[in-house]
Order: sequence, then structure tokens, then C-alpha cells
Amino acid sequence: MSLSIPERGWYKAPAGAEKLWIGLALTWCLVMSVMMPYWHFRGKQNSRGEAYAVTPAAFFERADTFVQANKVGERDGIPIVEPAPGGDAYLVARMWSWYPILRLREGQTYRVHLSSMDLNHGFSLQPLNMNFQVLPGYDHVLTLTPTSKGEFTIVCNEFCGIGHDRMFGKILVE
Amino acid sequence: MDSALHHGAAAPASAITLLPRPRAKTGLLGWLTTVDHKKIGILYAISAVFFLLVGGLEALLIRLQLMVPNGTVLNAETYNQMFTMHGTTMVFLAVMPLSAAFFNYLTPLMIGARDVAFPRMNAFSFWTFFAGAVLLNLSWLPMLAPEGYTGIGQAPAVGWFGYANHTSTTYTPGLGTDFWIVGLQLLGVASVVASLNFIVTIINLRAPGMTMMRLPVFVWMTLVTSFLVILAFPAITIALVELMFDRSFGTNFFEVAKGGQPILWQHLFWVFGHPEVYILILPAMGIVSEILPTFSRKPLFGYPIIVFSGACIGFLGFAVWSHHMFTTGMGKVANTAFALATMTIAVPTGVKIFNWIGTLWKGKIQTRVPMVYALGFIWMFMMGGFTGIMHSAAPADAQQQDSYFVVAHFHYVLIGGSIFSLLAGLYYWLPKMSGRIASEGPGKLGFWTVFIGFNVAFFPMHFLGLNGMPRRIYTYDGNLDWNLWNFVSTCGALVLGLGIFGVVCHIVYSIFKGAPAGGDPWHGRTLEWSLPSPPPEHNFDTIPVVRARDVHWHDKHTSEPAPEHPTAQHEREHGVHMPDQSWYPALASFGLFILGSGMVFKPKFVAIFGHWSIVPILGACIVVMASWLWALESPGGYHVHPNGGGAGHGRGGKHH
Repeated sequence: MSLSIPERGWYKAPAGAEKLWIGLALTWCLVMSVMMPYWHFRGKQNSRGEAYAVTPAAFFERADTFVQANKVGERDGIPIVEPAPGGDAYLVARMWSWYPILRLREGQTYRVHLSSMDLNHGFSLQPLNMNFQVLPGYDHVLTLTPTSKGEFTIVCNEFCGIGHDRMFGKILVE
Repeated sequence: MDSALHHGAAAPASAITLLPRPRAKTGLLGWLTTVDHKKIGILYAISAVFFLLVGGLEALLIRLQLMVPNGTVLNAETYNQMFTMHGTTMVFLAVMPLSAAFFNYLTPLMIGARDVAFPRMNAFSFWTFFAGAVLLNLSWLPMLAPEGYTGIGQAPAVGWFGYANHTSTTYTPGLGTDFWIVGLQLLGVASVVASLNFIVTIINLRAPGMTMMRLPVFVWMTLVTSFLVILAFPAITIALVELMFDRSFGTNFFEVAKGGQPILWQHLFWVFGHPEVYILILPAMGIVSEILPTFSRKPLFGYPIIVFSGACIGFLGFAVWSHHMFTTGMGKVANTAFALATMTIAVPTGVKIFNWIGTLWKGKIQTRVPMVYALGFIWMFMMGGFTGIMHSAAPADAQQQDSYFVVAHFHYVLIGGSIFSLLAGLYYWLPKMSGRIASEGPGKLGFWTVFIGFNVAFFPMHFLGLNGMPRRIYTYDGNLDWNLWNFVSTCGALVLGLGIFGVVCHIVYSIFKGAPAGGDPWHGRTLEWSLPSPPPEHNFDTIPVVRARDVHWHDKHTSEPAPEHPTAQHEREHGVHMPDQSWYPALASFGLFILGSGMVFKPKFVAIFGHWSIVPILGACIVVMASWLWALESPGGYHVHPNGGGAGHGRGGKHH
């Protein structure tokens, strides 16, 4: 494709330092490529992207049933709810709050159902910095296993109007 | 091509001349009715630079509000308007038109043509863009604000991406979203029409010997970008039409209660939105591919591969859109597919970077002002590209999505990439467009101010993002550990703003008071440098015959004169045929403006006229009339006789 024909003997095979460099670069490429599937299987932290269709009204009904059945306290008017280990937990996002406050046990696995009552919200768990979208009409399921105790804040990170900056929730892990 | 020689062609019997072809070359009339691609390019450039400053002001207000926790510079609603308008302005009213300015000005010059394929349609594109830009910014008018509204006027406050169903009338009942919808539709029409024009121009109007693989890389990038525009804009057009129907005519595309799906908007928007970012960066890459060889005194390394990579990026750009949706719960298969496609697109991008480095390698580097911007581009774009790759891994994206990390990423590629390159282009082609060259000292000072300000403003955003700061919040509490980097970022933004303003002032000053430049001040390689600065209206005295890539360089360094174009003798005798100016492009754009305004202000016009459709129908009638009269306008045209050497040209020649 060159405009002029290259001269004879233009190709000089790599030797010495250049060969070593190519070998190192290739080895590093292979290492990094293998890293990806390795950490995928070892890491076990990838969301499966499990989602179902549900109307906001139906979801709220399930969430309400869940809250009534598992309520263990209240904070600032928001019920604190402890789901059964290995069971389902429901989290409702709406302008501009999260309902309810979940209390989870360290080391137990839960299926957390996220949905919105009105428009798109974002579930951002801090300080871990894990972010997932919460859409109306969608039941977005996260399989969560808390690995440390503490009080975690849910920050809404999908722009949802004028109260977006103040939309905080809580997850307590004991 | 032969019709150009058909001098003295009388108007066909069916021609209608309601508005005669204007003759003025200067003044308001001259610019309003121009069909000269160079003038249209300058109109785009002036508009783009103006809106760059407007968008920059919006950005500074955002940063001032975020400088300290619980800031009081802007209230929540005004802040939401600011980031919406900042994004929309920068993407659609600054970067795209500045790229369009270069497409317009340079494409005919670089391919050896006298104008684009459809000069009047070219003017229509500009005036429609202008109509859309004006309509969108009319939303700022304070008198539009309803009672008790805390924002400014009715400027849209839904984000530049306008996610449904936030945009439904339930949650944003005002006119703001309608301004946004209609403004974008007008801008979309302008872009698609212009791109069709460029595709035809590049494929059909190349000078003899200018094969596709001898085209300057900038022209190739224009071609690829134009294809991206015509294929991507329909997606957002559809999305905006559906949204408008949801808001105004009771449909339920995105209304959850009636079975609609908000996620449909995300898919449609990002099917457009992702190619859109390649529309923003490919022209910039083209500009850099022109500047680096000139100031390395070496041909572009790996020309065919750079061209092919640009085409690959364009093609693959349609396969990656859902990387904006990794966290929406699409499922493993979808996430994996889009992650792999996004990683793949890094390959041609990286190849281009290596080729640019290859161009610089062992070259005789001249660090003139355009070159320092181009070098800055390579480095800053690479950094933005690295964070882009970090986003492409869906699990890692779960940490970055909707956080300031993303904001850092796209500003690195958009400012460090697109803006740096566009500024490089302005400095590089300023001598060609104005006949004057910008001074080195202030130019470099401007670059370093911009470079330092930009990095101080946006590098800390990586930390903020990973520390959990979400996007689009108008303020934050002081105990979240975000205070320091927000403060630093705002300081950087102020320096960046100062720098950009200084650069604009320097460029404007240089247009009037810069040192005179000849036709080829940089010892360039492409055809535009073979013309005087600024080029005469007819561009080339005789259409060049191209014998090699980097044709101007080739012709400067060979003693063999190029063969003459077959029409050269005819043109010497009868003059060069030039297209006449016309009222109808601007009139048609005006009609679109009326149509658009009617769609936005429906409630107000119902009160005045009784039915909302009166004004849109009026606007549509103007468009139809203008288009019909445009089609039936007499062919017009006149001849100019270039003086020897093309240093000036004789005016006159019968208009017909």
C-alpha cells in the first residue's frame, strides 16, 4: 500500500534487546488477558443483571408485605426491616427517599429487589461505591452478601429532579 | 461537471423568480444569502466559539456552586438547568459546529473543488443550526418563568441526555423539555443535511487524480463522521418524536403506568449518543493527523491504517451503546457483549495513536502553537482513553457509573481531545482563513494556561468519583470527604476559563492585527496551502490535477509541472462559473424556526390563536414555499475571470 516500493532487505529480524522487549511485552499481554477471566471467576462480585418486569403498584405491594412481616424498628419515621437470611428483601426508591432501611447480617446472602415508584433512580452503596440503576416497571435483583459490619449509605446517583442531591438511604449490617 | 461550462444558460421556462438572486458580497445581506462554503464555515466558527464561551460560563457557574459544601451560588433548579444546558451547548452548539466549520471551509479546498455539491443546501444547514441554537437558548428568557419557579426562564433541566420518564409531563410539566426536544430536532436536521452534502462532495467532486487513498486524512474523517451522523441521528430523532408525542399527544412510549418502558429511551438515546461521541472526536483526530506531519516535516506514518482505523472506529461505534447501561440490569450476556465490543474499539484508537507517534519519530519537530495543541491532544486523549477502557469492564463500571469518574473521563476526551484539536485547527488554518498568523508567545501562554487549568480541574474528579461523589448533585454535605478536591477542581476550572477566554481573544485579535501570512506559512502538504490567504471566492484558478498524496508537497518538490485540467483552457476564455446566492435557504430555516417555536409554545399559542397548530402550520407553509421556490429558482450563476496567479479576480460577468 506504500506509494513507493521499499528497498531490498528492508526487513531486519528482531534481535537482542528488541527480541527481549517483544517477549516481555507479549508475556505481559498474556498475563493481563488471563487476569480477566481469572478475576471474573475468583472475584464473584459481578452482578448477574437479573431483572423482571413489574408494575410499580405490584412492587409496592410486595415491598409493603415484606416490611410488615419483618419490621424490627424505626428510624426517623422509616421502618427498619430485617429480612430472613437467604431470603428476599425489597427496597423502594421514590422521589426522594429510600424505603425501608434494611438490617442485614454479615456473611448471609440476600436477594435485594430494587424498583422505583416514579422515575429512574440510582442505587449507589457507599463507601463501597457499587452502583446500580433502579427503574420504574423493573424489578432489579441484586444478590448481596455483606462482608463487613457497619452502617452503609445509599446515595441516589441517577438524576431524578430537584431533590436528587438529598436522596439518601441506609443499610445496616450487624 | 459539464454544466459548469454551460455559460449563458438561460433560465428554463418553468423557473420561478419570486426573490431575485442577491448580489451583495458583504454586509448582512451578503452573509445571510451566501452559498460560499468558506463564508459558511466562518459563520459556523463564529457561532461555535460564541457558544463555547456560553457553555464555558455555564460550566464556571456549576463549578462555583460546587466549590464548597452547601454552596449558595445557584439553587437546585437553576443548577439542574446549568448542567443540562452546559452539556447540550458544548456537544451540539460548540464542538459539532466547530468541526462543521472546518468541514465546510476545508473539504472543497482539500479535494480540489470549487464548492460543495449543494451550496444552497449548505447554507440551509447553517441557518437551521442557527435557528435551533437560538430556539434552545430562548428558553433562558426570564419572562418565561412561571410563578414561583426557582429556575431561570424555562431552560430545560432534565440533563443533556433527558432520561425518560423524568421527562414526562408528570415530572417536568414546563416548557423546558419541549425547548430541548425541538431545539435538538432542528440541530439534527442541520447536521444530517450537511452530512449528506459532504458525502456527495467527497465522493463526487474530487479533482482528477485525487483518489480516495490520496485524500487528506481530515477529509476521510469528514466522510466517516458524515456517515455516522446520517446513521445515528435518526435514532435520537425517533426518540425525541416519541417523547414529544408522550408529552403532547397522549402516547405512552415511556409511561410506566400504561405499559411504557423508560429503558427504551436509554437504548434509543445511546444508539445515537455513542456514535455522537465519535462524531465529536473523529474530526479532531483528522485535524491532528494534518498538523503532526506538517510540524514533524515527515509524511503521516501509516496513512492507510489510519484511514482504515478511523472507518473501524466509526463502524464499531454502533456496536457499543449499551456500555452506558451496564448497571441497568440487562443481564450477563448483554453486558459481556458490549464490554467486549467497547474493548475492541480501543484497538483502532490505539493504532492511530501509535501511528501519530510514528509520524513524530525522528521528525524535525517544530513546536509552533498548533503543534503544541496537537501534542497535548495525543497525551490528554490517551488519558481519557485509559479511563474509557476502565469503564468498558462492566464490573469496574459498577463502581464508576454515574459518578464523577465518568465526568473526568469524558472531559479528558472532549476537552483534552476534541477542544485541544479544534483549537489547534483554529491556529493552524487561521492564516489561510484570514491572511494573518497568530503570534507564538501569547499562543503558547494560552495553551499552557488551558492545559494546566484543564488538568487541575478534571484530574481530581477521578478521585471524587471513586470516593463516591455522584453526578448531577447541586451540592454536597461537608462531612463526605469531597471538600478538598471540589475546591481544587473549581480553582482549575477558573484557570481553564481564563485560558479559553484568552485564547479566543488572541485568535480574534490575530484576525485583525496578526502578522500577514502568505499562502503557505507552515510549509504545508495539502491543497489548501497552494492558494492565496484568504483564497479567492472561486478557490482554484484552474482545477488542479493530482499526482500524489500530500499533493501540494509533491508539487513543490518536483520540477515537472502538473498536466492541465481539461477545462482550464475553456475557463481561461469564458471565466470560472460561480453559483449565485439565494434567499431560500435562510427562508426555509426561518420557516423551521417558526414551526419549532409553534411546537414549543403550544400552550401560549392556544391562548392567542385558539388552536395550537396555527403557528406550526404557518411555519410548515413557509418551509414548503421556500423549498418549492428554491427548487424552481433559475440556475443562476455568473463567471469570474481570475487574474494571473489568482491573486485577485475580476468581477463581473453576466448573471443569469
